[in-house]
Amino acid sequence: MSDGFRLRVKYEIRGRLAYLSHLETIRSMERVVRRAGLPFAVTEGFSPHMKVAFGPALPVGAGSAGEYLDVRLQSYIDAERALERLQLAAPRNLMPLECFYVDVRADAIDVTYPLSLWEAEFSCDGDVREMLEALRCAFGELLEKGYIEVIKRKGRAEKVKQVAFEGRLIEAPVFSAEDTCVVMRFSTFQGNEGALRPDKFIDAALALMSTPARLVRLTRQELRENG
Amino acid sequence: MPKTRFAVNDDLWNQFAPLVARVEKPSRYLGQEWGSVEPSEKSDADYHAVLVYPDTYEIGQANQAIAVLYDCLNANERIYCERAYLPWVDMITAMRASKLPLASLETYTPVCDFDFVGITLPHEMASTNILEFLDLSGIALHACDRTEDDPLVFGGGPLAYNPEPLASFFDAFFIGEGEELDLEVALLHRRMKQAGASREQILRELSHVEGVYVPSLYETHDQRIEGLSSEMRGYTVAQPRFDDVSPRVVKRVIQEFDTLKALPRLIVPYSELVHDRLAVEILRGCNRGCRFCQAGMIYRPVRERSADTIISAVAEGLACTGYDEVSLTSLSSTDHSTIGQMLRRLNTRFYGTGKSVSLPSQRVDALGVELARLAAGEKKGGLTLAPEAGTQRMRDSINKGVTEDDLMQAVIGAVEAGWRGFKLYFMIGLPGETDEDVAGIGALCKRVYRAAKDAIPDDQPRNIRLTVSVALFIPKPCTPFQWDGQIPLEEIQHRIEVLRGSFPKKGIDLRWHDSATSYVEAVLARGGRECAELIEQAWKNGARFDAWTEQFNFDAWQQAGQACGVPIMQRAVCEYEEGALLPWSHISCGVSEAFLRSERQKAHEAMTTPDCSFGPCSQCGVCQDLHVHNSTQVKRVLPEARL
Ligand code: SF4
Repeated sequence: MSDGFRLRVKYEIRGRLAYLSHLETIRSMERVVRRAGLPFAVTEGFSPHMKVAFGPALPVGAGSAGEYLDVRLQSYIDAERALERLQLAAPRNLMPLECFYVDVRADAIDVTYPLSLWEAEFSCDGDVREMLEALRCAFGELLEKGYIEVIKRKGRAEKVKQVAFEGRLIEAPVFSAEDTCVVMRFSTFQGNEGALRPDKFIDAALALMSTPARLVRLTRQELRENG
Repeated sequence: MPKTRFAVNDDLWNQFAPLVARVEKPSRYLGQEWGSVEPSEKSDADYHAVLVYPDTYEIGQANQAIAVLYDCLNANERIYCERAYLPWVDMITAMRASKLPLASLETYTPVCDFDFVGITLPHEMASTNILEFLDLSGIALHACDRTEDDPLVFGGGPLAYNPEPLASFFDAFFIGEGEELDLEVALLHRRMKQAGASREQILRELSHVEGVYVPSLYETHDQRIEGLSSEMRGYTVAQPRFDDVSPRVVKRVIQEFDTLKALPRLIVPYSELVHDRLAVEILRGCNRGCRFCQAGMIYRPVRERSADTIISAVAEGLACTGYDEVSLTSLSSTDHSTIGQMLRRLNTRFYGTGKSVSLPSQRVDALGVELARLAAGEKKGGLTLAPEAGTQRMRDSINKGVTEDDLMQAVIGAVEAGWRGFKLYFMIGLPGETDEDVAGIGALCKRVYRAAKDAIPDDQPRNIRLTVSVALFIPKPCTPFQWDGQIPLEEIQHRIEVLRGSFPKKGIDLRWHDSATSYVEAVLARGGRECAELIEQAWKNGARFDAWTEQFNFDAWQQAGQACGVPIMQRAVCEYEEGALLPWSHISCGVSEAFLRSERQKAHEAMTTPDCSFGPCSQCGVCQDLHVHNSTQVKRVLPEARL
């Protein structure tokens, strides 16, 4: 059989569905592809499954304005038509936005897009400027420290691991004050060395605040190519 | 009322979001699945219903009855029907700490703000979950304490055939099949509420609808139970308080089953469910007449869907959900008169697509294995068979209709077809059981094990995995054993010893299902309104999620039993007097008491009664009483005639 065609689908994850696990998102998107009736290829062997690959995992609680999946198709179908069919088969908050073909031998999604641009929103009942300053302080302190500690569980054993910002945090947080919230943006690099999880990064900073700000939204704004 | 439009309660969701982030399996609380009904689709609706399953999302969402009723109610433009489940314990704790009310999945509307709260009553061990649900929703536990602003709380499902232990917590019960009934009740409630009728007036009117039982319109008196000391309570029996209220509520049943939509609108969950596949109900009812089995009595008569209907529902269902497995469900799918032909047609369609079909249960004979082989294709996990008893005398006594020959043929046929793993189900503590019957289980399993090994071809390893699962008999209302008690604790211990002694030291994996839950289940199954206090007290003592082994708290129940004069162990073992009124005597599934009594007598004599869907009527009373009849696609023939 020929290698078929590799369709790349960009989709967003919004609202409550930010709380899906990576595995649930994968299963759900596979079902979207099935419902859309795309001519997907399956692996050979005892229990055949769809030839599909996904990008880097999102932490539970984070939404996204653009995730990617690559699905191998047996026959060519116009990308615009594929998009239409996918959109009709998708839950409202797990919506395909764009479809295009890539070379079957092209790099995997996480190699093509090693950078993530994050946006976090903190709600504020009091003075927005004050909170912005407090956040800036906390993140400043954390950056100075240079790493966060994460707990790795292996069976019953727990190990504390240091995740350094060097090489992982590409753009340090930038803050802006909105009406009733503070928005923060930063970007990370997910290499082979273990990425800096944005949620853990934020938690570590909030733990340094006397009255922690309330994180109400975390979104991957963009998966980016290097450079 | 009149409410004009329903919308998502973002405020409440925003309060839930930080909790959702911290608990196990957040996707239980998200809703917004493919296929769920969004408020934007219901712009003409002004009546708000919520269907509830009193357990976690992944268990409740797999429930087919809810899927069907959700579709039926939402098909009416005036009704917006949502779903709600009981959160898991971590979320319950978080919600109580944050003082958040239980809310529906679709719009995060607090359950207490709905018009209609319809709770599924799946089994006795969900009773405390129902109280937990009402309490978390901020709805008064007792129907008599609810005000005009509260929703009407309805219950339906298998437990509704003896609703008495839950009577004080519900405004009304639906007896029987809900496809028409739920909608009728909702529309009547809507009309009366809009016209300004009071709760009391509405309930009185609902009591005139066939299949609706309004417990507050009945008074009860106590019936002493023979053999219990005088400080212990008897059970209650109920009688109508008013002339216009029926002394006997008869179940609703749909004769034209094949004309009902075979495929309701389907919701595809994000999280993994207990049964994560498409389910198509291929028939209703099972008339085999096993004497311990409640389902075999309350869902009569047998009604089959046609092969064409089923096959197009499967094709459409798989396409619109994206599942790749379908289960052909019912109480006894392999009894469908055209099951073999249907499986072959589906196999032809699925060839090379990776799609597969499964059957929920197996008949214990060669035909059963042939059908299992058709369904399983190359995938052969374990094969589950339920002979239920160890000796022929006992199997005849419970009317299991399975001979040792059937079982051996099934096992040998399965080994030849490639199966190597088997699971056998048995019960002990059945009425009339002797030590010999119990020991017969081990003896039978040894013979099965040997026969299975011997059937393996010489060039293959002689490995057989045999798991034997044994549970304690639980008497259920509406069955021939409804009068019988369980065996006392000391006797159980003795029989377990006999059972263990009858098994070889190794080779067969014997599993005994803990009996403490069975005692509680038996008490609730056959209880009257006196059990309401028991349930409430057990819940106050911390009992909930009683069906989850690691959550079950027997002490909570025992203490409650002592406090309420309904001691669990004594109540579970007592025999009820034949001929006396029973707690559920005013509720009828159509099967006559005379039939149940004659079946009980036949059990004592180890005489069998044939399945009327394969042959002549055995006069259970359902068809005469409810003006229905068995309807199969072609004449059912016994396997001997088919092979
Ligand atoms: S009345 Fe007769 S035919 Fe009808 S279900 Fe009962 S035994 Fe079967």
